[in-house]
Amino acid sequence: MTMTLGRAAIDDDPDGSSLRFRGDEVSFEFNLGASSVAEYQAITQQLRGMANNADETVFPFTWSEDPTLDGYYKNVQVDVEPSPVALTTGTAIAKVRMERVEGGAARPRLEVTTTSVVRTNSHSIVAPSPLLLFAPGGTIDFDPSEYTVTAFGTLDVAAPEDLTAYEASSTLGSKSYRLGVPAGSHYSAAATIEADYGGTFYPLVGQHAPADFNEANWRIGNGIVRLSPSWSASDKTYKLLVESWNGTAWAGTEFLAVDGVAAGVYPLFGSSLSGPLTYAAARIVRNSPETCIIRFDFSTLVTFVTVSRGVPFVVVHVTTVGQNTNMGWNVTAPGAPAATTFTGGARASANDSNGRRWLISCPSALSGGTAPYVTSATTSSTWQLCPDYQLEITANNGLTMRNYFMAATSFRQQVVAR
Amino acid sequence: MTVTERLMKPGQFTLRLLPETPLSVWNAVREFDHIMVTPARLDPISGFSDANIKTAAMWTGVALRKPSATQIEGAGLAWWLGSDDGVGDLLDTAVTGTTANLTTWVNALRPSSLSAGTVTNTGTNLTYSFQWITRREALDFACRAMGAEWRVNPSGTLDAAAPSTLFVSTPTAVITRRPDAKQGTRRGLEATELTVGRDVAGYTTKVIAVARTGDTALAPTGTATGANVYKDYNNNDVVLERLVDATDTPAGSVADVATATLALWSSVRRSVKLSSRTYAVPMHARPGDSVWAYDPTVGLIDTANQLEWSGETIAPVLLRVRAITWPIAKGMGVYARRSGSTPTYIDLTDWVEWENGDTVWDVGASAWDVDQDSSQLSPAYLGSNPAIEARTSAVGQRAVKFITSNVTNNNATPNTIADVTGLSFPVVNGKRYGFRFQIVYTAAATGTGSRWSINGPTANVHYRSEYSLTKTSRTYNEGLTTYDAPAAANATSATTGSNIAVIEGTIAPTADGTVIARFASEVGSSAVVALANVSYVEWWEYP
Repeated sequence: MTMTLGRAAIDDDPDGSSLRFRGDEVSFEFNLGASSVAEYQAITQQLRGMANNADETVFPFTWSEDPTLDGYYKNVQVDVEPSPVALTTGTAIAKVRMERVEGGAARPRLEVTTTSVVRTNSHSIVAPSPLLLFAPGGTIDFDPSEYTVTAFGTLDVAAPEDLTAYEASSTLGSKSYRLGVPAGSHYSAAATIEADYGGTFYPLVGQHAPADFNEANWRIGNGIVRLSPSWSASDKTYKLLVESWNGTAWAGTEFLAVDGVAAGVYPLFGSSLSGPLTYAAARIVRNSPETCIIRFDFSTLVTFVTVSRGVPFVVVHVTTVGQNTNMGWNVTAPGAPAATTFTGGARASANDSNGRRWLISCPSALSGGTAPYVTSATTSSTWQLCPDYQLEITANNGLTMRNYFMAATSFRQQVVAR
Repeated sequence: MTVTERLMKPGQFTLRLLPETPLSVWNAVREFDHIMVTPARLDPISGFSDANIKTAAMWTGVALRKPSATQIEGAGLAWWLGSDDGVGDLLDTAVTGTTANLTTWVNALRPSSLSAGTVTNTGTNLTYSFQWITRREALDFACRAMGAEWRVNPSGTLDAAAPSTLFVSTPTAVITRRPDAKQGTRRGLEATELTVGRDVAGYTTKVIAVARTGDTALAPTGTATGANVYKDYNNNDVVLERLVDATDTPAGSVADVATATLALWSSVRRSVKLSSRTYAVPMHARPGDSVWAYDPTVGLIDTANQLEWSGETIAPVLLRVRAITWPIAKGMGVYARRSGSTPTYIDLTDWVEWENGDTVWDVGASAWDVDQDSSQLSPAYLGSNPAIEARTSAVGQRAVKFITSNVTNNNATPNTIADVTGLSFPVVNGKRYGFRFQIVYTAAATGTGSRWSINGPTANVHYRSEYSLTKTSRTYNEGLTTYDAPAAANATSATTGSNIAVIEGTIAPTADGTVIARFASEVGSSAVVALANVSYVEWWEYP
């Protein structure tokens, strides 16, 4: 007997005597009995994160005992009352009050608005590139009538996540598509920020990250690709580890931020190059199923990492405040596979020891070959870091992934009345 | 306390004091004191010089009303240029400029209550004359004609320049629905309300501007036609023509008025209702500055723009701030400044009733907002008093001028023509005048003849002249169309003591200038003298 509320998976039922229905309002209590204090803290964060949430106003609820209550709810209020020994046993009483959304809580319409522009670039790319749209596994209806869509190539999505991606003929500006998704599939292959609680990663809800959310113990992903910080003893700083799921396991490539001309390292998360390790302040900028963004500041370095649902790459934007630099990346893949360049980026031309290949691209003109950096020093640059999915059947030239990146797209998802 | 700042307008403020404010504090603030607000309190205020405080101020206003013991109201510093109902340091003496640049005009139109600021010429000059209107109206017209705008700073200085020079045209403020953030030099402002409106109620496909009436000819008109992208009920192109009454506009400029009016009305009027929770908003944006605004859920996007913002590539709309209403929030400093040889300050901060409401923005897509009122293209949009205009303008009125000193021509070279100094009247390009010179003169001898004529700017001029020859005859000259005609003097004068010359005609100048009487003696070194107090010119302007 389990239930899910938002991103929280709870191994318990609502207390039967507490279940109340007042029109569209539903309220109940349940025993938050976690298997560990760490799990208790993680679930508490997920429950409390639904209040005053700037990114989500509607949350899904499912209950294995009574699926008639499954659906989407708004104005979700959760009071968690820790037991006197909560920090020893991980137990608490949680009280929930929530309201069904209008128009059919079980299967409302989700509307995803895309706003797309062609990134200003130095590669003579002026025509709109394809967009990537998503439909989580379990989607009941999918209405992309404002676009012209074709099924995307096969992407491995880490189970139990499931998603179908579509390629849409790019249309600049704003358009929207609608889909019906059962509550149980709402977060399937969603953009997710996870934090490490006691050695286990749990999805976070809202923008309140744990106090130790900094240079380690977090990751951001969407079931297809994920990014996490990775300490490098040799470089005495943190790299960005970008991994993909190949159907069996996660594996990937480390990217080290460097100054391509001065050959110095950019300690995005601080470093021990000149003394004790220091770390950046990491903050959650956005945490919604369609897009998650983390920002970390270290000295004059401001970095944003962005993952969107159904998009098989990570976007990294780095600003060196007040200082023009030749920002670039050194790549470390297991087995040091051969690499090559293409217009606007570089990629591995052979598999690494995990059977993966890497790819990096940038709208700016690049130098440095397979350790690319921006040719003209600037205060900011935007990068695509990802696996090379080798989508081009014949060309294998990396341009398909680059072109998806050049179609800069922002997503906004909301529940709408039918 | 709430402050409303407006682009090129005075705005207003209301300062509320706590109920327990000592009466002595309220009494200490007098009308025409200046209320100044700083983003952080300057404490003690006595430790700062007047110059320091003026530099630190983010807003300054003029106290105009004290409706109760706990309230002070007024307007922003631009009020000194002229109030909304036309009160101020009026231009009761004409301020005229001929091909004058922006610096010259601003210096001439700036009142003594404001100090000189930074003025950057636009490269376009203006020839015009302003009178009987407020300095603000004149400044608005002059700036509009020269492609400029003006701004009064909290320090009391008046700046003017092209909008892209004067204001922030590459925004640093980014307004979205997400919480505030700072990224590099840009500052995010979270919108608490963001509503977008579109309005075509005033949409215009063609403007017909009608200038001042001619005598027999039809009033000159100018037209401007825009592209038509909308259909009516029967699938025809919409026909929406606008008539503009441009009576103050010279015929030569009426087409420009039509074009400028069309530019105001030939597009969808986009309005954005925007509120944000922003502390000390003048530190981030002021009326006249441009800001980025982005919300794809309400269609507030523009794919022509691209910005990396908070981890996403957004396509924001560029909006011009026309007005901002912001609360005086706890943390700021509020002072009353009393002008004097050494200005004094009263610190009101401890007694201010703080507000914590939202900042309300008035933003739009038009760079040339005139409150959508085409009449403001005229030099006096408040409406110069027609009765005053009629009594002070030359139209229909005859003006008379006497010379007050004798003018002598006794040039050694015979028939050397010279001005009758002081016997003249001004003319303006594009207008029409009638005139009559009547000059009483003496001659050194009856055997000394003379000739009488006029000089002036390039013009279409037709005149005649007559002057004494003998006691029973006169010299008549008809059909004169060039200056200094006729070329020859006559041979005699009726008397030595009293002769009369008359020159009369009509002139339509094509340049600004002065029409002046001229005369010559037929005999070298034999004086002909135009007599003071009995020699005059009478002239009038035709409509």
